[in-house]
Amino acid sequence: MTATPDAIGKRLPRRDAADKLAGAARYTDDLTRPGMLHAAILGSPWPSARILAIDTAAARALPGVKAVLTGADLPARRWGLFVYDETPLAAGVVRYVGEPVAAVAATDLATARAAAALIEVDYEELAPVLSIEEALKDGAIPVHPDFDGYEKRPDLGFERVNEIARQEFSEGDVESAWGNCDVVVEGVYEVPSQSHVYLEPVSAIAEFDRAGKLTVQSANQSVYKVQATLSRALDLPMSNIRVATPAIGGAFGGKSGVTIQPLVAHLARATGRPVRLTLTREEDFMAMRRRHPAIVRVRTGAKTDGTLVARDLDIVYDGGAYAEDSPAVLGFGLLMARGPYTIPHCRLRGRAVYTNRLRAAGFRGYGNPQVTFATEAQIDELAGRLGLDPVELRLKNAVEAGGRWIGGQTITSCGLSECLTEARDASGWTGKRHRAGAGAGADAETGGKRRGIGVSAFAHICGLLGTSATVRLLEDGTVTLATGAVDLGQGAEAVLAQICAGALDLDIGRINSAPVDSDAAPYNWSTGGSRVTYMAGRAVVQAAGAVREQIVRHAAELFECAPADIEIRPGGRAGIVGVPEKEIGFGDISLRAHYRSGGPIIGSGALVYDGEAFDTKEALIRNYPFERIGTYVFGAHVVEVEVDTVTGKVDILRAWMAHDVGRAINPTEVEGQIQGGFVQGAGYALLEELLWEDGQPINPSMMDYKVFGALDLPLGLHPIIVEDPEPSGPFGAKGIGEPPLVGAAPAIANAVAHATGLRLRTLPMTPERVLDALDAAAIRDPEMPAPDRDPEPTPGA
Amino acid sequence: MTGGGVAPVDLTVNGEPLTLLAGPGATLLDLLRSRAQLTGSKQGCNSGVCGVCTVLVDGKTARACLMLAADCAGRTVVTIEGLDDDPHAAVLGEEMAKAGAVQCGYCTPGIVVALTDLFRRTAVPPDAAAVRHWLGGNICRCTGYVSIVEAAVRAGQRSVGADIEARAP
Amino acid sequence: MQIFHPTTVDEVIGLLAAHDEARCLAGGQTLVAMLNLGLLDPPALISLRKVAGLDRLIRHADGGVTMGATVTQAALAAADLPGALAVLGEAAQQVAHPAIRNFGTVGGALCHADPAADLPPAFVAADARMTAIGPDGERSLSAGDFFVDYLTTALADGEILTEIRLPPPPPGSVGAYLKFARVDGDYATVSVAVTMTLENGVCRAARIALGSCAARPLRLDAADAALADTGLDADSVARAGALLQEAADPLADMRGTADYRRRIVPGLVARAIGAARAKAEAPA
Repeated sequence: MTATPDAIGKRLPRRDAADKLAGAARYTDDLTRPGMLHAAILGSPWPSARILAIDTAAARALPGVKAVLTGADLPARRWGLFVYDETPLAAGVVRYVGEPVAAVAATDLATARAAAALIEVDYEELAPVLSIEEALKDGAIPVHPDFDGYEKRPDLGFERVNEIARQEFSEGDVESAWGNCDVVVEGVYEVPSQSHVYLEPVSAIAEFDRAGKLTVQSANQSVYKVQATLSRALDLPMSNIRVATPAIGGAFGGKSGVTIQPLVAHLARATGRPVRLTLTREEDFMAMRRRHPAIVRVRTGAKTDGTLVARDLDIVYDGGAYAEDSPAVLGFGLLMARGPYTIPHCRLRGRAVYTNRLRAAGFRGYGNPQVTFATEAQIDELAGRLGLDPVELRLKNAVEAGGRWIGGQTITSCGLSECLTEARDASGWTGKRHRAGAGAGADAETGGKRRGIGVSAFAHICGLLGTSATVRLLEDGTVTLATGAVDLGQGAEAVLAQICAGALDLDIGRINSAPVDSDAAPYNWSTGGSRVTYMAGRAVVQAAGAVREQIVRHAAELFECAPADIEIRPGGRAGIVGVPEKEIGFGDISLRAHYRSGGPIIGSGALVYDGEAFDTKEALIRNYPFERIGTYVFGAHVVEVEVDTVTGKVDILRAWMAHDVGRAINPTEVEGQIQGGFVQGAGYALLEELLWEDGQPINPSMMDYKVFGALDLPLGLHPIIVEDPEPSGPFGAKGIGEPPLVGAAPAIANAVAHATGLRLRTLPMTPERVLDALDAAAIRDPEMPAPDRDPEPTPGA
Repeated sequence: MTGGGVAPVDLTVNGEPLTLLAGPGATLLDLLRSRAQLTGSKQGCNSGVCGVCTVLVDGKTARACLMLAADCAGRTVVTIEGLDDDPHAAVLGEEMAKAGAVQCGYCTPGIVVALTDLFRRTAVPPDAAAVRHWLGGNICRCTGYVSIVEAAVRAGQRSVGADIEARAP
Repeated sequence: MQIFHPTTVDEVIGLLAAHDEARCLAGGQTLVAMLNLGLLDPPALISLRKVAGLDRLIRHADGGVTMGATVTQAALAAADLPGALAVLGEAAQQVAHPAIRNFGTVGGALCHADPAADLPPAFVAADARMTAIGPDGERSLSAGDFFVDYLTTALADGEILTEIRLPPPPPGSVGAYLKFARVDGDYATVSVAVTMTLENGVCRAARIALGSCAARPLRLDAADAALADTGLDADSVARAGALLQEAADPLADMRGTADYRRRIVPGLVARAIGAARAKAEAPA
């Protein structure tokens, strides 16, 4: 592979688009099975209560009802990712409003729902834990009184009641470093619960065959995670469980864990019939997943010249009622908390806690948006105090390839500085940074609108755990590629096919992608963590490489030459180097392999993330569940906003989003991830927040919980692709799924600070919060100098 | 909802007269998905907010989840499946695929239906502002809308007012 | 749940009398959402779809307008009504999204009487007259009297709204509707409907009605009077805004606290007045 193969870097349209455009793509709820029953659930009305009795008689008596299950009907087999605390239905107690308490399977959906409504539950209300403060206070009520008895993998050390995890990443000597700082900024930042709001509500169909094998089709991000959990929950060997994946209507991390599959499988087992459960939007809001809200206390110090010296960060994530991803979200947040800068003295600590609210879990960014909102605000606060340009301050401290990440891993590729300069130059940063005004005079001219421009720089990883792929050469020389990488809609299938086409120098039209089905697909840990292009892509390159080797061997035998004299030529041919007329097509080679010699050609690739491990001699790393997790990716955003001083509303005017993706396998798909991720991040910054009052969710519907529509955002969302090839990546590629979300909120907050002179430390920056800040500032001191104002431009700068 | 029985509803779907059984409280979306096996219209919020169930009712963009099935007697309904041969939808599909405007695809049929209606009722190709206005009620959680709007504008330029005979509903 | 398809208003009245708790179904764009969410379960629905004549919008020679209760919001949005009545079209254009407006009706939205909805304040600002028909015959009431409380109108049991009459807009009159919401298509956090008659830059009369600021559209004689016979100078506009702010008693919900809504009233009132005034100044 010397020259770039034709398929790499091309804006090839996706194969799945045609069916999706025609309404012919089948999602889980579009599927039916002969004899299929429909399921409904009954949710808890209380954030914390003991279940005293459940009367299901009226529900069972309804004609058409085939099964009614409660927690008491199910085996006491808890599951989880790190802490095994979950059950399919509440067992004895309920821990959040909406938690499934009972489930019904009936011949039609209306009957199932009517029956669920007839179930009577007698509760004894318990005092709930509704905030991080309540969870951690002395004498706190334990959300899980039986926590000590739960199985944990690994046991991460729990020091206080309601602690799901407590971790630390530290380097240097932060306590003595403050004395070397000329300026120190300090603040407390709060970030909200964001709901995934994938447009397809969670859905699953389960059925058993007569031999006892379970098949589950569901919206998921990993057939293997689902298979493993079903195995535990239903006490079945994995070999008796098939997990398949119809089209997925978005996930964003919200379908990465196991959701309703065990419950639906229990209903199928109880009835002996296929059962489908699709949550209503309201049930999905109340009973599925959300981003961890968090409180971040952080202090950062620098020298006068802008050299960053020290950071002390303490974060607490609200994990909600069940642990799920919380230990990993916490650890990943801490790993990102130094930011993409060299800061010699860092103490980065955090906890994840239980509360009686909806469980939090993975959501695009995975703990990183929370810390990066806080830390990138502090970089701008430092710039303001030091009178330095925020972009220059970032460039001065930016990590580079060959440098080390906190924890000691070597950074193997890094386009961060290029991202910063490209976003700066494309946005007209320098002129806009100095032009935007915050004076009352400006308000009169603009009808009360103030403009500002802000920047963020950030990192993420791609990597994590295991994956594999197979490439099979079909009789006609075309190819079937199989991976375990579920396509959530982001284009995993298309990009992996493109990598396969590149690795074999074939036209994309000759690559067939096998469906992701645990009966046939090679293992993949999950579609998540921005890892599929990088990790599954590497497995595809390996598998394709094994196929190339066999093709070369066949060609060498046919041409009676050494394998070293054979080259693979574009378009599916193998030939003798330097002899253009001596060549043979893949089809002929494959026929030979199938019918005459060697057997059908199949190649496989498999790996576990194999980057450098953390260096525990240099860094203090406590309770982190992984010893290595990924290769670093980088980005920088510049955002221009307008703040309405009458209402406090912030409008995004334009954004420039530069991302180092190593190598863009398909630039169109990369741009789609950048724009879509930015917009979700803009929602996190300005709009989205799940709200509770006394433990009751008050906006669990799309009427009340809003996401941005087409009219709320500008068309000027400009993706900028930076390519600094990653040596370990497939054709140099790295991941892009999550970073665009991570950088959105801090750049927007920094732009708001530039526009108004005010630092908002709470997300979302709703009109009301912004107006509160504007009013408070005016009341305190109308002449107050703006803290984030830049110095006057120096001539020639 | 309880009480009341299942009653037949006569309507025309994608050009075919159909008699479908509607339970009490059933919506047009329920009817299309469960009784007519037309699953291209999706269920997203069931409250008219997200737009994934968008269909044409009597030639106008409608939310299938907000049309009571029993009140649809005599109506003419076109779903995404009924636009299979529509020239506007075909051009739009090409442009959306090319632009990367199709990701998870769950909002896609509703957007194609809504834009086809827009293309049919305008004599000049809609600009970006008109497209955004028209799509204000079609939520997409994947793309950030830019690629969809840009593809729609390009499709409109090729399709609206061009020598394509918009098929009658 | 039964559904009926009457063809005349008399039949509707008869059905309402015969079925306790029956609800009229017009466009259904709110009603069906409520049915889906289980917030309503009426024993009978009376569809107005086939009632003749209710969907007509009639422009009278004097500039007045009569619209039937089932005129769609899309039809009103496209009607391009003159002078002060423009407030109605602007409000209709901002109801939810195009698909909703295609079927959602003017009468349905008014009878739902949601103070956060767009049409109620606009119809109050336009000084509409509502025609109600019931078992005891027909009566007419002002829009101001029609809205009684949160989700409550002055319609008696068995009565329906059949049409809305708009007076001819005076020469020199203008109207504007300004909506502030979290996102496009959401219910208003606060909205301002304004109609004014201007004569050589002097405001002869004004009617302002606020949405989402009380249990019904909020209109104050004092605020309207504060603008009358002024040149809409900043002080007069601020005084009207302050009076409305003082009278506002909004609900608190996820769209904003009551305090926040009150705080933004004066600024939004000033903007709405500015938008209306700009129309008077714009060349016709």
